[in-house]
Amino acid sequence: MLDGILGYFFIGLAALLGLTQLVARDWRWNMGVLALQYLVAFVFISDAWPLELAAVKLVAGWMAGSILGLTRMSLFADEPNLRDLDRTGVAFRVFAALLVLLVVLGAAPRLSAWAAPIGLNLAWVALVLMGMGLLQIGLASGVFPAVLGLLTLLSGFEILYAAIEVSTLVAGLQALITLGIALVGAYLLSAPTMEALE
Amino acid sequence: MSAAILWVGLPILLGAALLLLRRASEPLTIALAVGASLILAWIAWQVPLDTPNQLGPFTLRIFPSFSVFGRSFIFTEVDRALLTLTYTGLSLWLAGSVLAQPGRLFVPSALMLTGLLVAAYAVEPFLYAAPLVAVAVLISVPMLAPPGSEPGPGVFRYVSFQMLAVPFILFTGWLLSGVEASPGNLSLTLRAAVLLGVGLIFLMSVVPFHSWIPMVANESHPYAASFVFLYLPTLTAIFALAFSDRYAWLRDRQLTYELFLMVGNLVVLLGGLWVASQRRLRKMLAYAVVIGIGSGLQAIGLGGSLSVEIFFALLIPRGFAIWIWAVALSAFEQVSNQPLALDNFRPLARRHPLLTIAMLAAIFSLAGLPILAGFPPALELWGALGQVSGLAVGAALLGSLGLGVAALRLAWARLRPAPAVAANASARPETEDPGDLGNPYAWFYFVFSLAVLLLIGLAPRLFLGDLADFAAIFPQIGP
Repeated sequence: MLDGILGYFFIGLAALLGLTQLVARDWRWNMGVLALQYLVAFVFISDAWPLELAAVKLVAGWMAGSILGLTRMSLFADEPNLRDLDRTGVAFRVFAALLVLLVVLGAAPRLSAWAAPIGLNLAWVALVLMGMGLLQIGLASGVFPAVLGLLTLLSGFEILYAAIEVSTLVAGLQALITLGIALVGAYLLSAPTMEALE
Repeated sequence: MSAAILWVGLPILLGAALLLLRRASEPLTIALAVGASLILAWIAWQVPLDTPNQLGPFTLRIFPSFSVFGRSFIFTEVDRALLTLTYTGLSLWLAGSVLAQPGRLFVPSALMLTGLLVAAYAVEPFLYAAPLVAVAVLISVPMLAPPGSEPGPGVFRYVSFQMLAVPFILFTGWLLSGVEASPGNLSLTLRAAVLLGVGLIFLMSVVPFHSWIPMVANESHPYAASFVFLYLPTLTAIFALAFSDRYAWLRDRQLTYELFLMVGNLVVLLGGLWVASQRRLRKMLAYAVVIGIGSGLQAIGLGGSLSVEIFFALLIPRGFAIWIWAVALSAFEQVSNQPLALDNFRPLARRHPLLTIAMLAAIFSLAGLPILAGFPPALELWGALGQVSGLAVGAALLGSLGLGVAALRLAWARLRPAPAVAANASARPETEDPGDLGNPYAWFYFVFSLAVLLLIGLAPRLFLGDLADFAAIFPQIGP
């Protein structure tokens, strides 16, 4: 289903989304990108899993995005939506993302070769998301972008793992981890404003 | 009743209940948690599994396995020793929170964390332990960054590194099914070993992925941080032993043990250098934990049942010493307005001699000073390493020397002549800080700590004699 032009479309989309996640200055763009990333993940996972099980991933991902978005919106309503990122910073991130894509270009065929259930297009999308997520974590200057990076990385891994194992328990645990990371991120963002427990 | 419900479900449920009641009386919360931990430890110690046991008017039968969604949580007779140790240790940490005051989230979080780590230990296939450890890590975050505090970058780095282990471990599980089908396929076993190794490096916080430990030690309450530092890497080391026990292709390769030994040497050596150069006590504690992780790796690298015995022999005194250090450091920081360092230690130590002596004894015990609890297992480790590699025993000794230097610097910070001008204007004045000589809790802590450290050090066979019970957990790791 995901071979040919449709597969290439999603690979390009995943790369574009990963890049946007890195360079977007408005956090609302980040949330939109995260939602689309989970949609891409759902498309690939549903190729290997029953639709209802794949939907768990999508729902968990969107819920995670909602948690983060609502927290960001309510806590920092008075702050500008734009983060401080100048042209040099954008150029550096684009360059770093291109390096990651270069690595993925070489790694994905090898991964697909020795892990037969993992198709080439799936390997590309998964590794792109994992690479971009790792880059996002490394370049993050705060909790919010770091959480987004971690969610991106794990969404990429979930695509890979879905191709090799179908397990209700693992799906549940991974959804729990996704929601847990979002909740932890929301907690760390809001902890300074919470009332201390004496 | 299922063993999983008892040793996994009950702590998690109790922790959740205490979390909801976190604004209730703190002594009551602690007493409930300590009581529950002690009961769980006693049951693990005294009550055999899968056998009807008469307890007064009640009959208790603990079923060893519990299934959920096709996966099982299985406990066997040989696991009882580890469960006893785990929940006895937990009760000690919970009781110590009376002195340490780590915050109201510590008790519920510690209970839930322990329950989840025990679940990770018991789950079959045990590769599903990685997601359970990940959930445990997430639950521990509020304990490390309580409400009202400004979380530093260390806590999220801790979360990130532990989460990064999950993909590697889960992927290894899939590869291992292929390895079991064709164990002669060298490339497959090599890939599985590499992925497993990377996953364990993240989980066990091996250098350079240990960086979250000193960061979290600096940002979080020392008692809560120390609890996480002790329980999480210890479980993952047990995880590594379980891998070695389960898979012959891993166990029978000399390279496996050489790698553990090599990495352990590096970690211990670097930890020793770092701990000796620290001025802040929190970071000293953090690097002492790093040295402990390295020692555990060295013990695993010895191979054979001796490796398991030495691992657990090191664990018990080390865990106790870290507890003593964490309690003392926490109590000190309650009266100080700033993080404790060598520069501002003297006036506090002068007013709190009991805490000071206990803390120094703990650090010297970690360094392996004779007559203290850490010496017998350290000597055993050094002797065993000496037969394998001169480099390994050199690294171990340098690591211990680093801890010894740190302890001596701390002692000198207390004993050196007072500076001409009092520089510590921001600490509580002496009139507000009554010291610990009049505090009955401090006396109990002091006597208990020193008594246990000395008793284990002077009579190790009495207290560490049942280590063969732990070796039975890993029957395939033979002599």
